[in-house]
Amino acid sequence: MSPESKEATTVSPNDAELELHELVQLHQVMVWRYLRALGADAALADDLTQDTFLEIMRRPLEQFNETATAAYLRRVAHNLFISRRRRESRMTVTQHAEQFETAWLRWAGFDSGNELLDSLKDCFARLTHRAQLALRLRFGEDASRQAIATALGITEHGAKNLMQRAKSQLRECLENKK
Amino acid sequence: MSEAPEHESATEQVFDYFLKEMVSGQSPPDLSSRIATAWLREQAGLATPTERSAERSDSSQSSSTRLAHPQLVRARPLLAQQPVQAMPVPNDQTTTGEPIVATSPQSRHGTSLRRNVIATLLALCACGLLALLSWRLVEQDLQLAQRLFELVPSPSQNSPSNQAAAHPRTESSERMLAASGQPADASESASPQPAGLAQASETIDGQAQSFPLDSGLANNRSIPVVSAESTANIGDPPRLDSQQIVAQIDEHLANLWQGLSITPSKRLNHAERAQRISLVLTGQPAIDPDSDLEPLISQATNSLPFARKWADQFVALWLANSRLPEGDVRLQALKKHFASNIYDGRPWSAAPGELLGGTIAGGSSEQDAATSTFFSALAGDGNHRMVAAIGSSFLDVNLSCVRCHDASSTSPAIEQPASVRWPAQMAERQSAYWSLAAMLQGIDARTDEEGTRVAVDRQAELLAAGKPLTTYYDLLDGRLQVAEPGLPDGQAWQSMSAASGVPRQALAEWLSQSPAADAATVNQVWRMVFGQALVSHAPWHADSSREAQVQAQRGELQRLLAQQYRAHGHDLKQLVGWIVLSDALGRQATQPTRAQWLAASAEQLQQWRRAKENFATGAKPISSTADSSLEKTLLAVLKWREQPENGSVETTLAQPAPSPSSSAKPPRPSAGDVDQTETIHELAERHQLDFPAASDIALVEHLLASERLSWKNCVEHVAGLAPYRLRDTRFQALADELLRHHNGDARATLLDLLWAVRH
Repeated sequence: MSPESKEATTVSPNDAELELHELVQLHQVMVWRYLRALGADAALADDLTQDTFLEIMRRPLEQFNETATAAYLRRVAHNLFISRRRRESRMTVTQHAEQFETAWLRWAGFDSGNELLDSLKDCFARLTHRAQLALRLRFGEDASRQAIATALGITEHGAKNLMQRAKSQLRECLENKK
Repeated sequence: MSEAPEHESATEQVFDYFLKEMVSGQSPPDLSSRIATAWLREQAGLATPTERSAERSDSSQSSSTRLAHPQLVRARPLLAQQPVQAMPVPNDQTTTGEPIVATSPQSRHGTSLRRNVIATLLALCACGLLALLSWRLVEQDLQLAQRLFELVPSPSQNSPSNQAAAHPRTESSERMLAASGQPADASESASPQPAGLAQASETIDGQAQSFPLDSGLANNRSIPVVSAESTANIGDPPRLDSQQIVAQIDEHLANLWQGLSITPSKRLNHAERAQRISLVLTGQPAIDPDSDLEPLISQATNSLPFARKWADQFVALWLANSRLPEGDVRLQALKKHFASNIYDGRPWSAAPGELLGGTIAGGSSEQDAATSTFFSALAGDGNHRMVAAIGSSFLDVNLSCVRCHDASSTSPAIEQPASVRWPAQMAERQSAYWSLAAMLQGIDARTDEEGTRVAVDRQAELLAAGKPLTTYYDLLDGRLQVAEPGLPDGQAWQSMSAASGVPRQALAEWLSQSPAADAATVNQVWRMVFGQALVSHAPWHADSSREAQVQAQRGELQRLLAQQYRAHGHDLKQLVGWIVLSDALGRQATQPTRAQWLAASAEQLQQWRRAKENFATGAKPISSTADSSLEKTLLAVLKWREQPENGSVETTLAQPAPSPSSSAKPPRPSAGDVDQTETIHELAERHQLDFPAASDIALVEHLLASERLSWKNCVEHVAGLAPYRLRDTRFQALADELLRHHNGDARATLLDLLWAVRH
């Protein structure tokens, strides 16, 4: 058992109960983003974020540390999301949670994703104007590839390549910033 | 199994989301007040998440008739010390403009009333059940006590036995316990429980585990430890010389054959035996087959071809599921490194330490290079390949099942003697798997700018930053559990002297010293010589008491060899030498002729198979790519299915039949059949002996009953039962093809797959 967990188990039950307000303040942004990244729309992310914290509060939570709590919140959120999708018969997810957790940690790390967004903005500014425009149209306005191609005066295939290259450059830039 | 595409897709998905958020400027809302309100309302019994959906649809139908929020009168304090407060309820709305909670006080009151009535009724039922159960337990205790006293001599018969009644662990009670398979002394009571007891304790654990974090820790504490019996039997044995060891192997085999009424095939003559030994050891024919065997073995095991061949075999075993390309120079270097170790006669027990304990990135020694290659090949995607490889390579256990559930929960309960089960018992619990996975937290793999797959080690960094190396996993019932890093025997990793380093290095040290790793090495060497393991931990191999007995006898032999291997300083050359000198390799590799085979009765066929499975008919060295034989079997199954007359036959291969002597007997081949046809009919013939075991059917039914498992997952479960790692994509493709032949009948397909894995 690690020193951290030893410490956690000695905490008295009363002290170990989290204050909801503090818990929400610390982790709501992360949970909401996690749900959005999973594919939830904004309204569903709102609802499931709420449900995630309620689920936590229904049981006496022993807080080991913020990272462990964050990971636990993500798992609860993930399970709630899957349950909701299954009720709607829209998706069957089986062992996706671990892969998604790994992917989340790869990009967002141990914070709520704010650092990543700052880095992303910086990297985005280094792209060419055409690449920026293509990504803005694609991710900001949900434009189709055809619409992007028309806006940039290139072929559809060219638009696809441009966006792929731009994303690849962004990834490289982010990796170098780590 | 094939996690890479899913992982890549998840990585892409997360990246795309952040890109979208940055470009669109849509930031997360502040939901603090909304959540606090919902919590207070829930505590007041006003709304539940499920009810909220219904309420929302009601309210959306008539927003004008929305009622004001009821007055809150009581709420659970968020902190124990915090006074209860009534909070004003803001009329929050979701981003879609819908109210979070909109309730009618009257309907809520009705709901609460109904809920209270139902809860009271349920409580009454539970009390009744508890009373009934308690009475049953009291009854059982009384019966047990009666039986105990019947076996213990009465005070009138023997006055000293008064003590026996007071202290049941006397000689007579020990006999009784021995007869019932229970350990007779306190040290043995620490050994893992039989299946039934394990199930009971699991239930108790389950009841105690009200909350994942707590229960996870509880679960961790209950990781089965290496039994005192197992370690005592492995440690400090008398060191025997080679002749004594070979004689003991032969004695064990002779007893095994005698017990099974097997007549072993004829002995090879000296020259033939020397040739076979040379081929097994070096892959090359003997230069002087007439020389004495012991010098020949000594010469062969000290040669470079021996070192190369055995290093190749071990590396192929360790990296069976490697993600490195075939021609990667690091693989060649790894083989060369271990060939050098074998050639120099370094203790083979150091191999896990070299593979796991060096520096992953930036090291310059040969050990660092070995560690780096090992992790580059297997790390990433949650490190499940790595955990599986550690299980199969160094502990000789198949950890595929316990990734998702306790092994006893799906595998049919099989009573096996402790001598056979002890290595596997370390990995029967899902918590043990995830503790092992937690030991590898912080290790990942990525592709660098040059397109080379490299491992990344952040364990030290995470520990220094105070980040926990915990992992989370789901139980079958959907509850979450947390696992702390822990060694396979349940010890804390800090207990190893490598604790000053990182968990990975502590694990490496533990594996290098573990008797389980010695037993695993024996089993692996035996498999490399004879084509099948000495002791199998696959669930179907002991689905009868006779099979269990056979496995127990083989387990004794494995233990003997493991003890001597340890006593001789983990000398791989000597271990291989003892095995190849044994009587099993000195027998002719006989197979029934075609005419014998066609004329044989079912009993004779079964006897032949039994003789082959128990090493009484010589040996056939296997190649390092063990999965190719399974692929061949599966292809043969597919060809069999393609024959029109077999497509709809219920009784072919592993399908359940009304009775073994049903009319659906496959056609015998004619004399002019080509070889391929013969193989297919050979399979069909074997089918006469292979009606699916109850354990197979139970396993398939269990897989199909699980709503959480997709078809792919079911196939992965079957693949995971193979004694070696399979190539994921190819096995999945063959399974899909078979499914099509079965017109989508998943049950029939899985039974066929199980059949193929068994053969």
